[in-house]
Amino acid sequence: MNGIVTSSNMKPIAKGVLSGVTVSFKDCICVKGLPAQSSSKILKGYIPSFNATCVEKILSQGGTIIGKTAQDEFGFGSFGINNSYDLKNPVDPTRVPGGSSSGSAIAAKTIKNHLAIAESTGGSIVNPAAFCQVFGACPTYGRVSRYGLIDYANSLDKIGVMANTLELTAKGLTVISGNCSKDSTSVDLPAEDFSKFETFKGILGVPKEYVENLSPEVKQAFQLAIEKLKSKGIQIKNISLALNAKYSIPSYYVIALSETSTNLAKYSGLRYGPQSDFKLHYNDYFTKVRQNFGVEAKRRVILGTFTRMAGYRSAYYIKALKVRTLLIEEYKKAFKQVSAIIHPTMPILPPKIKDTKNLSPIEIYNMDLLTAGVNLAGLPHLTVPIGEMVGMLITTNHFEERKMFSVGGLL
Amino acid sequence: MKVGLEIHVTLNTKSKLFCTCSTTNALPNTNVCEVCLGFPGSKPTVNKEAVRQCTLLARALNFTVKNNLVFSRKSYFYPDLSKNYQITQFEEPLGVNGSIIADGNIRLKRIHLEEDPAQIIRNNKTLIDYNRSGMPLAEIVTEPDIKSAEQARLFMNKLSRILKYLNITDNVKADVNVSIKESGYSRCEIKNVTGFKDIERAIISEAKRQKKAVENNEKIQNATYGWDPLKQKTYVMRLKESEADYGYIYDPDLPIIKIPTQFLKEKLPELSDEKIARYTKQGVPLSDADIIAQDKDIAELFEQINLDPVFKAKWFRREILRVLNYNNQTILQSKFTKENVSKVLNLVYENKINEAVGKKLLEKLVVEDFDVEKHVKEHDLLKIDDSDLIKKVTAEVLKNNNSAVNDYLSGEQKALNFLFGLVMRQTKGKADPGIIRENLQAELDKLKSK
Amino acid sequence: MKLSKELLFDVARLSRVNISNEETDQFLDELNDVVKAFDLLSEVDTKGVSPSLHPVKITPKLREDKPEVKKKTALFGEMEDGYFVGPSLK
Repeated sequence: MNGIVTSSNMKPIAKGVLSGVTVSFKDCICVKGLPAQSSSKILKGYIPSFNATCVEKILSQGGTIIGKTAQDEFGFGSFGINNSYDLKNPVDPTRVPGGSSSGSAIAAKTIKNHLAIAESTGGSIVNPAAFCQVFGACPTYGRVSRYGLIDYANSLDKIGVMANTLELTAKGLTVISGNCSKDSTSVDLPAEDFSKFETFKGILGVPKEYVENLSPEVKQAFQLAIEKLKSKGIQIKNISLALNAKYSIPSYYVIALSETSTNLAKYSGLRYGPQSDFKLHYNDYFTKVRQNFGVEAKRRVILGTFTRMAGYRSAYYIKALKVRTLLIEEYKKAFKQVSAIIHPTMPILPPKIKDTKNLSPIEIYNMDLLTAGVNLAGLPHLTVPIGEMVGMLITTNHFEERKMFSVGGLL
Repeated sequence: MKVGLEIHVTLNTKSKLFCTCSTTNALPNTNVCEVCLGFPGSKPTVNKEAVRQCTLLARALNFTVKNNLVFSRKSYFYPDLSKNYQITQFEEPLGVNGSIIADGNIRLKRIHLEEDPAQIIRNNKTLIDYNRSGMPLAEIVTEPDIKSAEQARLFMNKLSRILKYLNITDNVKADVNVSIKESGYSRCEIKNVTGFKDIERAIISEAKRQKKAVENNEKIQNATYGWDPLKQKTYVMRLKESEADYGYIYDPDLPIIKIPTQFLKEKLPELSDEKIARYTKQGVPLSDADIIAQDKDIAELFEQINLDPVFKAKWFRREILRVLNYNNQTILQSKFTKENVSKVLNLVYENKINEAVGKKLLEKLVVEDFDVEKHVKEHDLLKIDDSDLIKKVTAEVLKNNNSAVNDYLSGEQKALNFLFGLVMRQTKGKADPGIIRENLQAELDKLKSK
Repeated sequence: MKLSKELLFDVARLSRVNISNEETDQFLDELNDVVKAFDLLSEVDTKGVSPSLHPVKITPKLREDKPEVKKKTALFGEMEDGYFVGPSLK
């Protein structure tokens, strides 16, 4: 199983830097004429009549589109188990591939010369990339157009890439970046070639809170990576991200779920997707159609509706937005001391598939501990393989993707 | 009585508020795209012209206008809402604390931009047309300062003028809140009343209904009503449940957008009230000024004509408007021009043609433009003020109409008008009416004394 | 903050999501665990802090008012005489 759920053979419209490269898109990214389900039953039969902007960019740079990849329903998940595809980690098939861009990571790992376009809200690019031992890059928020992305959380979603080499990752991210007039959250910056990075010269910071509570395999792999960096003459400093360590998960989830509960409101059986009996009163009709949501989707819609309800909105939704400001400030302060921040991408090895059956929702949410903060802050981040099913996360300041890749180049 | 209005004005743009679909009339579901249909993957972009119109409208209504646009999502489930949330401005409306003077000061609570839902055609089935989905609306909410249906009409007349002066259509719908003293101001809401006339009628109808209920000792149910424009009656839509929870969030697809400075600073066109003040200062009677300034295009033509203001105001108010109404045309649809109207009014003012002749010329000019001077010459329309000629004609008329003369002499005043008309007719309407009257009166008096 | 069963049903109804009777107790426990984690936010002093709606500063351009001549958008779902069919309003 190579992660692809819908196959295609869309030829590029022009030659370019991706000539000869096959490309896949996470199922939540709209490719004209191909089903886009976000791995949800409620979008069965939805075939977009337009291309996402990143799709157009790939086709105009020589990429051949070979299909859509499996994911957790609507992006809700950290392991790749919240779907009906029975996905396995390609390195160790008894383990999960990670999520939510599970299929992208599997494709990047198993298909030769392949670029997998994926999406991250709270860590969904770097998590499966680390678990499947490939490179995964998530750009600064606003760097890549979200036009054509089926939303999870609009102020958090970012389209990014995964590949088996650093160079292809950097090239791929360059191709899909750029201002887009159809996406009001797209930033307007001059084009940059991220693969043209210089040798890194600067100080790396390791947040002490992010290296406690690691599984032994992850701890060991990370220590080896640190030694390798030190041997290249790189200075490594201890920093603290205390606020993020404690509050990035609640702040991230409150904001993400508040936004997603409004995004998922449109799935009500009208104009696309499975329909029901129109003789029903509309409230009953909507409720019946929305039975097609999986359990996790229902959970998140309910939580997200609660956090923005009158009477609770101040304490949760508005509060989380304010805490977000402080969390971003903490990262900004850190970047005054160091050029880039490094730590393991995930605190553990990918769990065995059978062990995930009994995890509670809050236990799963807490798995995002090391990635929620950077996603909430919209910072560019890159995972590079440093051990078997272990990745190291490199984070730089906003819009410093080239510096991020240069750190990756050290390993 | 206390009336509060929540008015939705459809802005006059070529494309929708959040997408590039056309706003023209079209077959159902043909002005639609992935954005206004709420297809997954689509994203909104903000229409600059809609922002301009709403900002100017806010300024014309004396609102304090924000510098930035902040959009919110109002979530509720209904078949006409393509995303099951409406993009609106909840936390930070475009403007607050405005006012309109209409027989008193009517405070305006807020004005903001929002998108229109789709249109539901109710048959046996629910049929939905998304052409309307995403149309740009300005919502204006008044305080319950309106105290009568009459005041409501004046208020809406004022609003209508401002909309027309700013070139924003006066295509409006309103939710009308009515409460009467007799019930202790227990409030009922009539939703979605279309057009200024129906809004006034709905207010009258609802006040009547509530008065009757109080007289019959019935409790005013806190319900939501609809307005049936065919039956001209309210009907119960639903009993009001507890306030729906709209779960507002800031719309994360739309960052805070700075309103272009030129919209905030651009000089507003001179509006109706200012024109009225200016005309009355020039001596024009208030009622004439009010009627002329009702229509911006008529006011503009009025101002272009270089004549005594009081004189031209009289002619505009009485003759120009009469002729336009009779032909069911707006001034821009008519053939009136600055040149031809100026010519006619100048000829009357200079006493070169009779008023009656002037009126007839306007009746012709409204449908066909021609050279007025040439026409007057060709048709020999210049005024006759040769008193000898008039004397001669008068004498002849009196000679040939003995019975009318006798009627007048025995006290019938109407006979005088009849004789006057005959003299006028003999001179093909060109004789100076003043001279005719003078002569006629003089001759008749002579006969009386005989 | 602890969600009661009533609040859970209210929220479910608001969001048109059905929870079966069998699901309710487990849902309630799971959700309350999550809300407990959310409550950690109250520990943070946010006096004078403004909310961050987006993580970076974005200055979008307003769109010029030019209608696009559309290629016909593919329409799915049940239709009748050019209208979309919807559920009953009564």
